[in-house]
Amino acid sequence: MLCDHCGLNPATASLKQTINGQTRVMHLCRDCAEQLQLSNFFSHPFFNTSDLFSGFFQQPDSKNKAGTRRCPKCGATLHEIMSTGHLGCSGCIDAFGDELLPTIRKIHGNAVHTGKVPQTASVEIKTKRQIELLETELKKVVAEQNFEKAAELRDEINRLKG
Amino acid sequence: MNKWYDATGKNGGIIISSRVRLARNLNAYRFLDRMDAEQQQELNRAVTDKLMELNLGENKLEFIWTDQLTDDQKKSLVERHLASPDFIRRGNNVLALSEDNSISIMVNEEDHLRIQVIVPGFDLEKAYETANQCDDFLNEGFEYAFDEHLGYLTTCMTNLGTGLRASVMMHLPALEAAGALGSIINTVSKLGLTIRGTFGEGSNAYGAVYQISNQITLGISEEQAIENLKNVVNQILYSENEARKSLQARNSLALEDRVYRSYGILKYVRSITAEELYKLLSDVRMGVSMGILPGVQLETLNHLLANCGESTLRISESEEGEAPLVCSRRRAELVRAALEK
Repeated sequence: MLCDHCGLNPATASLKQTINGQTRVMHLCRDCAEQLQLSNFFSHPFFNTSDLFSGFFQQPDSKNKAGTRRCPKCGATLHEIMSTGHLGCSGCIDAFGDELLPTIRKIHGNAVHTGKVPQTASVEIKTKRQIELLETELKKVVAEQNFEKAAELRDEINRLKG
Repeated sequence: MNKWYDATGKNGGIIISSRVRLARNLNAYRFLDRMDAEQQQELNRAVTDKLMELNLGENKLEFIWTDQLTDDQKKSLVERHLASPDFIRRGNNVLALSEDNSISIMVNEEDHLRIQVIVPGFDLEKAYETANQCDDFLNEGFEYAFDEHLGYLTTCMTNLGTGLRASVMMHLPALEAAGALGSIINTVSKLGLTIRGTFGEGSNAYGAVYQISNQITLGISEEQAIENLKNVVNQILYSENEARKSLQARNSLALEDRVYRSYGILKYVRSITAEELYKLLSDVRMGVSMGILPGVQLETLNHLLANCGESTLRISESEEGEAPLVCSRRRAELVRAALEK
């Protein structure tokens, strides 16, 4: 099995992390295991983000092709983003989403945004979020056996889903 | 108008303040690492223009262009938690500060916008509500960088999602004396929260003032993050109260003696360093909130905590660059005058 972090060397160790209640196990090579455990930041109350990122993002192979591709909007390379932990603009996620996602998951767990949505977000995003909220509410009222309210919510959800 | 720290709030004896910060970026601009000075100025102006329309009733916004400030004026903003050290270090930016100092909006910090609201006592909901209103107001003028799955896009990937950092400043002298903070720090960090000393370093925080805040911003709503933090703060609050009771039960005379000695020194002191002041204020605060020392207001203690930093003292007399010795004298004068009232 290859290392989940660098994908280059054989995995010889496993690292277990629990974030947001989700436990994940990463299989790592010796170098990556050392790096990641040194920056075990959630147990360190005074962590410094720059230390954190140098540990998290250092690419074992910086000559890797993706490392030199540029974000079309701001010109940041993946390598630059990885070494600082800083995005260059709102377009970096579109440009490097696939490459950045594993790193983002290491920080936040396997999670998607469930918080506030800006007024300027698209109608589709807003509607989707509203449906999610109504579905959560629906589960709650069903558990309370409030079927009248549940029927109202289900109609509203169907209306939004069009 | 009174400042936020000239008041006290819910659980005000132990909880000094609650703070919420939202990180936001505008879609139209590159993020801070990739902006040039001119673009930053343009952003400063655009946001300032929009904020001029923000109606806060009697509480007016003041715009502070950091490049026009002296070093002490800048440091004083940091001492009073109105701006971050990073904001001051960057320069070429502007701070919108409400007259009561509870709302501070930093333009061109690590993110384009950092909206911060501080309120006295334990009231994270109030702080979030105000921050949220400012956020909605700004969003009317600017399209935010947002991704359906990753939420608000922030410069640093650790803030993705809600971009929310909520924190509570607590006074924990009894837990500190009981040596319990180490295990609290450990437990809290396992829950995705962090705790650190407000003044000074590490677990030897001056004056036993600690700040507890959330770390996780993605996959958790603003309300949940605040609720989680509140639950932990409530447990720490309970433990601190229990530790105080046991301190009192074990040797109430020693406790009373310590509180009154510290109070006595502060009433008559002629020169005092910030470090010693925070230490003595800690005893007095514990005495006041436990009912051992009546007649001193928590508001007075909050005022002193906020205003006795080195740079703040220097600018309060508008004489720049005085020796620390003079500062110690001035600090003592301020303390005596405050306790005289």
